[in-house]
Amino acid sequence: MTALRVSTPRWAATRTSFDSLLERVATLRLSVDEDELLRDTHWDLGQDARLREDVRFRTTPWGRWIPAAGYLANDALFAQLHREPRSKPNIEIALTELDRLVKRRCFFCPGDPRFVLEAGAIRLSARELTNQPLVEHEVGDLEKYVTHLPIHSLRAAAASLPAGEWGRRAQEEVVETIGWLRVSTGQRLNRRMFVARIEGHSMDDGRSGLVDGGYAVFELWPPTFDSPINALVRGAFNDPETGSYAVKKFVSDARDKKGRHRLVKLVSLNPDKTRFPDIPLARATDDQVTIVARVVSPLAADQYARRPRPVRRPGRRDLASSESVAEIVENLASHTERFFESLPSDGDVAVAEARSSWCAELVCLEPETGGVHIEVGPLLGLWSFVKQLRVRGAGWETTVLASNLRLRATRIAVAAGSGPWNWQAVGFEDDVDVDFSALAVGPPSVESVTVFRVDVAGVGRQIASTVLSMGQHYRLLVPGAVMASVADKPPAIPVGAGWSIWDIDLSSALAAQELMSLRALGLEVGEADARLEWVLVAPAAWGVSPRGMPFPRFLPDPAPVVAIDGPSTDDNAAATLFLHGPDGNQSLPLPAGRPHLARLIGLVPGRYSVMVLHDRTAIPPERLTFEVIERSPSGPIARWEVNAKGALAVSKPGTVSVLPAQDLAAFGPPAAEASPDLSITAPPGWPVRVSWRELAEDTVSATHADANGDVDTHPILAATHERRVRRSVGDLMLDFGELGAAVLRHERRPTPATIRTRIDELVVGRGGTVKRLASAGAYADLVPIWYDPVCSALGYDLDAAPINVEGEPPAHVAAHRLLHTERHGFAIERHPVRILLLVEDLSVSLSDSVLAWIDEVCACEQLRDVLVSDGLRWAGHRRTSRLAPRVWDLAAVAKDADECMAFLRVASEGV
Amino acid sequence: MTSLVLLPREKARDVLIQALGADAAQTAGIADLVREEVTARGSCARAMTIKRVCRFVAPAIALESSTVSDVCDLLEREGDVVLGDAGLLFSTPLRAIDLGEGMFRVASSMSTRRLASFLVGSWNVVGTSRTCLVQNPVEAHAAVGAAGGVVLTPAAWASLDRVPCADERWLDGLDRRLKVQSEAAASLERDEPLGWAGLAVTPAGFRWKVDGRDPSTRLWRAKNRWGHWHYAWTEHDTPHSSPFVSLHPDDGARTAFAIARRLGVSPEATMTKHEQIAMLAISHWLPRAEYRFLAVSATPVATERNTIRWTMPLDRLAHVLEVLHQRIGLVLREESTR
Repeated sequence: MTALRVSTPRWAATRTSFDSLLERVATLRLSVDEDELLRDTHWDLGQDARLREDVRFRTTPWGRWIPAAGYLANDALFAQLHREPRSKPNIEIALTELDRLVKRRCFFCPGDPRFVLEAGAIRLSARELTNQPLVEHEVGDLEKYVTHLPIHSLRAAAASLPAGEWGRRAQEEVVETIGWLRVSTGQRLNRRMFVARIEGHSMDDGRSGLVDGGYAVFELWPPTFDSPINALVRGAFNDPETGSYAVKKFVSDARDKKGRHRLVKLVSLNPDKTRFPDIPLARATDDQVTIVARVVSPLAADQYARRPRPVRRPGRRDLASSESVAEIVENLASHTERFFESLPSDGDVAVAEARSSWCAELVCLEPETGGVHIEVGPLLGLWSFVKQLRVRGAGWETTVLASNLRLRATRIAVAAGSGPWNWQAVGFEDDVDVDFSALAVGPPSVESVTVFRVDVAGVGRQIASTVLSMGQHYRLLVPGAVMASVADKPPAIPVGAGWSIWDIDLSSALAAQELMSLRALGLEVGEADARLEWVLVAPAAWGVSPRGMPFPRFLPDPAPVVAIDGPSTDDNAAATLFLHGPDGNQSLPLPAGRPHLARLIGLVPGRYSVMVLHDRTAIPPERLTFEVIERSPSGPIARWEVNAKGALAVSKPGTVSVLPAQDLAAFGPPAAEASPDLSITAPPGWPVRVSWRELAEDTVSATHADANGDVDTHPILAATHERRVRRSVGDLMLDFGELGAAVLRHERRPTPATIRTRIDELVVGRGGTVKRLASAGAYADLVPIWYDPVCSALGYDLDAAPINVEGEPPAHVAAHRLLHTERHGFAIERHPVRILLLVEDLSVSLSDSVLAWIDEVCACEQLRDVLVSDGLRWAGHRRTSRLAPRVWDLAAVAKDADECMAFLRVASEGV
Repeated sequence: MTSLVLLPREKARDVLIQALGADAAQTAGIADLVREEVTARGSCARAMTIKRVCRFVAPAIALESSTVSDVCDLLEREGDVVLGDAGLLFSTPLRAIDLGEGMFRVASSMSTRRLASFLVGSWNVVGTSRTCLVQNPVEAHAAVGAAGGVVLTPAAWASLDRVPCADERWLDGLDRRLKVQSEAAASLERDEPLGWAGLAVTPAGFRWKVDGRDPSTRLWRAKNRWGHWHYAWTEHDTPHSSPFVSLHPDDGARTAFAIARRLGVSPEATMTKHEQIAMLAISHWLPRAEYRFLAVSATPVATERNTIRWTMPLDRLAHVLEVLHQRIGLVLREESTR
């Protein structure tokens, strides 16, 4: 025994009455409780003594006392139990060994919650143990089937053959075993027993103990049993969780004379029969179902030996121990599963619960594509009657289709200074039950910079910190007032109303100027965070997770390469790269330094996550999630389609598809929404040149299909509205370049009613002005505001240039050509069809000189018919005729349908 | 069996070349990097694409963003990518132009490596231009169709019949648009001031002048911060102070040739004749339709910064030059063969 030598300096405080106590404690191995030590000897005698008054005693972290010269051995024993998890050392022996090593007398403090001291032996307490079984690969023969049972996978056990066929062989020679496990069920063990991990939830009824991931003792090939029995069965059935084998409650009726059951059923104890249905077995398959093992009992956590939890150092992660790695990859697996998890449909979720999870957030994309956005959705449980949502900010609003938000995450570009943003259902603004207050997004601060960290998909996500990490990419939203106050202006990009975005990538060393600008904006640059990035090998495609997060899709070959950057490490394996995928888990301890490149070799199709973890907890993990696919997805299809009120044209490269003529004015005026009458699809982003062709072709606009391949018809209809309404013929051409073109033929034949309405509008709107200008003979002023629209209504184009013939026209008359445009085969042609003669007063007969002049003009123009007008009054005239014409007042024509019809017979073209 | 393996930095370039099937330091390699990025994403902002490509190859080589930007312009003219609204680059479907005798010129955002996986033949890549000589044209047609693409005739590819000539009518059309659809002065400069340069046509070629503005200048261009060009047509002054019509860069190129024609100046290309072939050197940025027409009539042999050199059988030369002269006023200056 190591003697405890207590030498006390003369100045140190001691208490003489403690001398004997110290001698007693020095012979012990366990720490002592102050109350127990002093109660009888001091406190009950009225002495107010405390061990802290004597330097020869010291307290343990758990409030008990040992001699100050002793060595508290708890940490050493804790480390030993982690090194040798199977051991259950005797405390006296263990401490004696330690005495020799530390050359001091060692003490153990039983107040340490990490240990349980039982019958002189210590073991780790339950909280220091995982639920993972402590599998031993070598156990003594005396332990087999006495204290230990083999541990198998259920699949392996299910594949075993009946015990009768084993002969003299041991169970573990027949079933591939994982190892041996110490169990303490209180039952006598036998050579047919084994332990297996339960797979699936079908037997979890809250009472059975047969929970997914839990362990149970089974007995292989039970010689006899009574139905019902919980058992491992295999056969010609298909369990949703495990396939052709399952742990189920085997229920059967009594065997008939032929030894067969009429009723056999594999019952799931879980009451959720939708997900875990019972499996009724047909008589024919009854023989094919075999009870491989019966469930003896589930194992509670304290009934089997468990692996200790990895030792955790403050501020450090354990990246090496198998337990810790198992935990890390399990977390990575859950991350992968969550990332790709399908969103429940509306029918699968409790509506109120789904609505309570709605949220929207401010994100920042690159300024080129709009900068500040609100990201919202998917909105599960969105009321089906809501078709459109309105987002409203200060002096700004937009609408979004509800169907888009219901299904996926959507980003809506907003003006940075227009917050806060609130949501309403269009048409249900006053309905208090249709509440979107959960989606309200506050405005960015106008007094400080809003920081967005750019994720792997290029989306800036808002963070609260004002300390930027090296290696990361940020977008800083800077209010105008803050920018104005900064002397060292950063290279920020204005995004309107004084706001600007500074896109700053800290992957390389920061210039002094940039650092000064950051500081001026109230930001600091801290230590680098871990960073992962795909490099060198391009993904075949990018997909979007159900929650709207982009992820790359790689082909297995060439192997993807990930660049790992972040804080430099001084030690090998201070950071580790982990990979989780369908083929299991991999880890790669990284050498000291930075950056590194790693290849992901031998990937099979499936979903993966890769993560870099540093051993310092201050450095958060960084993950990338991706998918491996067998072949590249197909690209865009070289096809366009135009649907004009049911008339369909599809792409024929190199040709022009002509749609049957129709009145394109019927497509209506441009509305806020796309016209249902005209839809155009093309490859995403495809350019479409829109032109209007009559006698010549005019490019109206150049547009592009959107990312879904839809072409916004609103600007096309807006740009052609006037022509579609006013022109009688024309071709609306949609040119898809090398993929061909579509021509929408326009033919509009005005009706008497529409002409009368138009004349009425003109008379009411401009009649007064016409009278005034006509009496003054101001034809030049009247042509654009009066004659041109009236002639247009009557089916003519008015040639604004007056006809010039030799000599001065008599009585201040003026003559213009009236042209009519019509389609001849594929061509559109325009010809003069009449002459419009403008006179000062039509109430009196035309003079002979005027009539003679008209004859001359008609002869020159090779036309016979003339329309004569002094403004509101109009008449028809034929060359060489000297009959008094009938005169119509357009005010009267506009009011009387019969008058109008009579007038049109004389004056119109193509009605 | 899946495994994680450290890749030494000195091997990065080899891995890149192996994955890409081309040297990423050359135009053809950079073009495939851009194509792969755009194809994988479907659409992406041009500036972001350039930034991503530079970062993507950073472990292996240092690429200048201006180099990648120039390649983006070439790819757009080639028809491999489309520059859409808001500076977005879009992937494009496969179009194979049947040049006859098993030769196809290929336009698509798919990388050459991926194209070669299903369109089997002898591939010739010069800069951003790709041609493939196949053994069996019928199979090639089927392969293109299976990939969602189309096989086009050279005429359909160039679409010259539907694209206006660079002439007086083209300029009249611009004036008409200016009259009825003009955009407000400075409306392109809400986010940033643009440095407008006006077109001056000289006998030596097109010059874009920032200073010393000629009052007769009507075509303007400016590069925005994202690196792509705005073109505008005005009545007299710059789009900063005069209403204007925005032009697609391709329409801008056409307008430049139309102005040259109006001024009676003929843009020139040089030619040297050899035994059976002519070698053309064209340093003008041709409008897309005419570029495509030339590209299916001649074979590119080299690209320099501003000049593409083409070879062409002599028997085809006269027709090609006649079409280019008639459409954009390009004339040929023959140089003696040394």
